[in-house]
Amino acid sequence: MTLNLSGTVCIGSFTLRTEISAENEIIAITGANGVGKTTLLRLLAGIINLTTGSLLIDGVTYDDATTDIFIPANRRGVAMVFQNETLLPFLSVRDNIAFPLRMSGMSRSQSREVAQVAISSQGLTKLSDLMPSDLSGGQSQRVAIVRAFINTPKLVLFDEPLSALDENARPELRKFLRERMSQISGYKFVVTHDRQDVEQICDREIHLN
Amino acid sequence: MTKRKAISRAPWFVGVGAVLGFIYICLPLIGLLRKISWSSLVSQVSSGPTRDALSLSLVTSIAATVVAVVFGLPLAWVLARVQFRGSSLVRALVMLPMVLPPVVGGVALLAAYGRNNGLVGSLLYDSFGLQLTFSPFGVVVAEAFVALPFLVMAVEGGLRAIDSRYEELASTMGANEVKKFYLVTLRLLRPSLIAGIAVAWARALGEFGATITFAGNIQGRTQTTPLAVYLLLESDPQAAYALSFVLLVICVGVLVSMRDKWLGSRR
Repeated sequence: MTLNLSGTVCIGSFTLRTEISAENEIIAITGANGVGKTTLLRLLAGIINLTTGSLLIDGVTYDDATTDIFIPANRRGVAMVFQNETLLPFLSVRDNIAFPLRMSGMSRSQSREVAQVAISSQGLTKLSDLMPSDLSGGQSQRVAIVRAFINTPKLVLFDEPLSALDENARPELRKFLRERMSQISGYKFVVTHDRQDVEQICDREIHLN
Repeated sequence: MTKRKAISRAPWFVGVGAVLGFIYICLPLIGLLRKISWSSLVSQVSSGPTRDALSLSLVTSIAATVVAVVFGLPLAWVLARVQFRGSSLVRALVMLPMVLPPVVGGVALLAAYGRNNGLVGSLLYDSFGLQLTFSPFGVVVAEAFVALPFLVMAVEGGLRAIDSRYEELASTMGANEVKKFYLVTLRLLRPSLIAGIAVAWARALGEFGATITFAGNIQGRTQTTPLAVYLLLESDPQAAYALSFVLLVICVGVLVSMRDKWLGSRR
């Protein structure tokens, strides 16, 4: 069970060359600003495609520039969390968490029930009817993380999930993230600038340069 | 030391110009209001030809707005998001009815959909028995022709302003292209779409030149409210003023409902 990515992606004048192989582990992606960390996540997510090379996950080709095979984001089983504004602004907390369930074919009422259970189990019951604009930074990220794991993703892609938070809010969420990610088997990538994230959340580090 | 509050004050010549400009816009409106006989307003608006014109206008302008949305939404999407050669030419052509004299638009519509020698008009008539000229369908075609660019402009602007990350996020959560469009793009686009619909509808409602040229001026069939106003001004000025007032109220209503979008809120 491995993920193998090797190739380049060109966006305008920007080119990212990359060669990565991963197993069931939590990988930190570090590197200077503009080196292509977010591009790498978008590539893995299936939002953008490779210009050359290929991406194989568990022996299945997800992206291949030569044969034009490309499995789009909605069929990859991805969970993504950005630095901020990861929640859909027009849906309540409960409906945000229910969104991936609804996309996988669950009925509206059933998806809401499942979402509510997930919300309660994380002690976020008070938030379930609030809109994203009513939440603090830490609350939004927590909700985004709960949503990310609602469908048992195969690819977990977190882009600086804690960097917008207060220093004193981070340790708890680090623990929360580490726990949730350890519970699922899959390929887990966390882009971060924070050494403590690397050390306390991740098993291994890939430094881009 | 106390901070002086910054007050922006216009130079006197700018102020005078602005006041004159404001009066220039308001004077005709005040004139119109003065002409209205308020006691008979309702009876004038609800009598034979005016009632026919109002109901025809209502139906055709709504139909034209639907046509504008059906064609305008995809057009705006392509113009905002697809890079292709000649996109600026396509945009210019789509926006053309906005600046084209409406009469010229009507003549062009005749050349395209005229029953006898139109580009596709004879084909429509021979194949489907559909005659657009001098029919309510023709009114809808003319109104949609002039209203479409207004919708495209509003929606294209809205699409450009949307943060595409939300759409990408929806994809990663399993939304296919159709669901992404309906559940996320359209939802984020809602304020611009509503503004576009309102202004396109107002434009369709007020259409005169293209309608009279292409669809004619048949009472109860193609005589819309603006055409009726023009005709009534000769025969029954009081009714013309009353109808004008109705149109004015509708337009003010549209403007007020769009105040956040156009009138800008000072913060």
